[in-house]
Amino acid sequence: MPVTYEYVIKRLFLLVLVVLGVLVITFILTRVIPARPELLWAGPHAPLEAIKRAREELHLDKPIHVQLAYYLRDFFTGNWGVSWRTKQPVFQDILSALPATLELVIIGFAIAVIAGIPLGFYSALRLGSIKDDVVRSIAVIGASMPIFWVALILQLVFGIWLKVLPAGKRVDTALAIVTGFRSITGFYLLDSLIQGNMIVFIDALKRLVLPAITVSLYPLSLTIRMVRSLAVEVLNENFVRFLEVNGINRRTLIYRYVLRSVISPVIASLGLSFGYTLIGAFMVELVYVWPGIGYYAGMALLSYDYPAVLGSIVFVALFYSAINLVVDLVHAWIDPRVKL
Amino acid sequence: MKITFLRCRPVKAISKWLVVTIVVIVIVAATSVIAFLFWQQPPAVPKKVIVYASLSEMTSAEPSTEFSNSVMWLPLVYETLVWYDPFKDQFIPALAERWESNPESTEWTFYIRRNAKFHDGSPVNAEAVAFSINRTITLGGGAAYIWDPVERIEVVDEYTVKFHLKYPAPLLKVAASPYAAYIFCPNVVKYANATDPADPKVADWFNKGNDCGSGPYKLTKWDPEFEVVLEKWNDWWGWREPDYPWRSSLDKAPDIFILKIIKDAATQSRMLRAGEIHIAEYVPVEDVEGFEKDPNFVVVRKPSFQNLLMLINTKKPPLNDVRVRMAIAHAIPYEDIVRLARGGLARVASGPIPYGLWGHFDNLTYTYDLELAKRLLAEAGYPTGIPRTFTLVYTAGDVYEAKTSEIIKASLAKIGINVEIRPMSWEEQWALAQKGWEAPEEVQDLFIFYWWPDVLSPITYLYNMFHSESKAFNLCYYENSTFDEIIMQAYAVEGSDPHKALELYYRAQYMLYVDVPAVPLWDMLEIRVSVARVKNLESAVNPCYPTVVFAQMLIVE
Repeated sequence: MPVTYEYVIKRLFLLVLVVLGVLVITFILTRVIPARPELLWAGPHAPLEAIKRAREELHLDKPIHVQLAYYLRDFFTGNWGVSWRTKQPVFQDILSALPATLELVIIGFAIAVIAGIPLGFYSALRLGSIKDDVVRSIAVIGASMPIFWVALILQLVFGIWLKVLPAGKRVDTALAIVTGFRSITGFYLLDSLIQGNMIVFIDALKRLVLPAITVSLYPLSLTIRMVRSLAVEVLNENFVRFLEVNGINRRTLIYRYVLRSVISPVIASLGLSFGYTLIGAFMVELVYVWPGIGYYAGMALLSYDYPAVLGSIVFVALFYSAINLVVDLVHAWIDPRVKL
Repeated sequence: MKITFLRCRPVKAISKWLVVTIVVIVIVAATSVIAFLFWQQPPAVPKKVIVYASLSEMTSAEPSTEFSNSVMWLPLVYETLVWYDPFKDQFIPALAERWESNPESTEWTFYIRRNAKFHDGSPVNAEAVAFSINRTITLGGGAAYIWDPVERIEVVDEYTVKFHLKYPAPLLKVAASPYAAYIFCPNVVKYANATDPADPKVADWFNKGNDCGSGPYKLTKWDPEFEVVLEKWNDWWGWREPDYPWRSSLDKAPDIFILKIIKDAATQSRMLRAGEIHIAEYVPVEDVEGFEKDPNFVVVRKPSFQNLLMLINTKKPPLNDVRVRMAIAHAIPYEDIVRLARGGLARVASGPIPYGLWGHFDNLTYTYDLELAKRLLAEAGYPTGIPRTFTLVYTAGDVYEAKTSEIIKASLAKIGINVEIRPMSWEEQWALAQKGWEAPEEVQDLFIFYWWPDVLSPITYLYNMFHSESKAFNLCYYENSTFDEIIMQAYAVEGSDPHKALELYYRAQYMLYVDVPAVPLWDMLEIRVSVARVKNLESAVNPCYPTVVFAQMLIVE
């Protein structure tokens, strides 16, 4: 077992450093940008005394390093500040927005893996044919089209013109209320199943289709290209030829030997593309009015709500680093060739 | 033989896959079992659900201090003593059935409706009114200053409450304000486990999404960044009151009214077409015509009491010369601005009081006359134009302000005034302008500025932007003690002698017309687009209560 506790601890330490770095840089950036958050806090047309009071409440009258110290102190005690717009605690806001984003990204990734691996193989086994060209074009187009544009086009065509799929939102709030749907885990598909609420389940599933397909485009293209090139490489390896001349069934050959050699690097790179996909999901959320972290952060940015922006960025950094760590560990676990 | 040899390595590895597979199977199986156990076909109760898209997130759920976006739903959950209909200049009874004042308008008595209840079942009475307003005054946040005239509130009997004022004021207009005038139940102190009404615990209780109002809707979901859900309250007194004008009827009004936060006009427009929302607060001006032609949608245009002005730095040469300011006022193509910058969805302003509000006069628009403007500049000693470049600031991101600024720049160039346009964030813009009181030379020359009312009286426009004491928003740095006196006097007699008040307000506005501390540009027309099955939207929108759709007045088919 190449994974040691020592290694994990080292990585965890690095993770803390990275997150701290992101935190400090973002904090300074948000304070350097000339904005007057106390005005937001005090509300529009607020009298001067209210604005002065707000400055004091937000510690804005102190120098920046003192403000940072305040923030760090609160940050490590789990108090990520309150949103300047809504005065709700940021940490709880982010936690409650997280399942929406995760649901979207997980389904998007699932589509990418389930469709990407067979398509990659399909392409690799028909190297140079027109079918191969078609699949490769899909991969190139999927990776190069701006994700917000794809989101808009899919929404316009299927949600607004053809009206075959809902054009946004996670669930029809009215349907949820009428059927007594309650959010338990925050993952609506799971929640509706637990409650046996098929109406909401189907609604939530339908609403996932367009945004999840959009989110899946980038990892899908990545998977197709990786699987294709790796499969082509492996198919030319000596051991494969050896098996072939030994008369092994082609199906067994591909599933048992080629797939196994291909899958591990694909998982690793998919894991690393998680961050990029998450950013893509942010834009998709804004188009589809999807109440996840991206939507939350986007709206916070539009109104200079820095605790919310800061909280979202730090959270994503934390999440991203953690995912990377997990991917590396899983990778090592699956593939004994990987040395950590 | 060969194959066995080759297989011996993979066997161990497959066991890992086996683990993963088993885990997946177990999860799926467990979920299915749970789903099967809890299987229940939810009851299909047909409800009238209306989703209204809001451009801004909600701010707080605190009826005393809220002075921002939550006004969008507060008047549905809470009631004031009276409502105001600006088009008929008429007060509509809400929790107060009737009211009276002494001739000096220093004592106002309200008679509270006997059949009104709060959502928790407790009665609405004089005690509750005094409790609510006193709490608002004590907290002093948000728009609480509107109660400044009030000296004390006397509970005369169970259903009579009397306001004693320090100075004469139109208290009815204060009581009808969209901010800081809501009545809530005194039980909130108990519910919040607080010691007194001003205890921050009470505010926390509200901000957790609790309500204790008396209005036709109850707050059932409070998710201020994403959505706010209101459910119809069948026990509202107004449903049973015959001929009450401020509602449609219990069976026609929406059962569930959802405020969905969609912070982008284009997205609102798309969601409306996709049928995901039913009323849009804001669609891009370019889309309005398309919606108007489409029989599936209804477009409602109403004056809004928001107006756009250009504040002039009256302390910075050469703008301290009234002839230069007057020249600017006559060099602006008002009609073009309304047509090009606002897509026609506005009215050319006439004075700083917007059209539709009591105190507005129709004869205070400057003519667009470049010859006159040039003559005025020449008289001021600038026959060939101003040698300095003026700085015009506007709020970055606001397309209407941006287009308006461009047109002003192009037009002023024709009389030899060069303008540099500087888009800034509102915070920066305001912070810069604040310095103008000490160092007017170092700040902007021209400031594009919106105002909307807090108190439903001309005083909010005249005081905030032009009174010499109003340092926060008098960004023309205009100081005129006669003007200050006239408007304060007008406000004092507004309740007792409206004719006199109107005369004084006219004099004040005429003074501004002559002194040109600001150029009023346009009064906004508000646009709401709804799907065709929502009727009566026209009456449910009232510019005194900006962004509110009074859901109880809607008729849903």
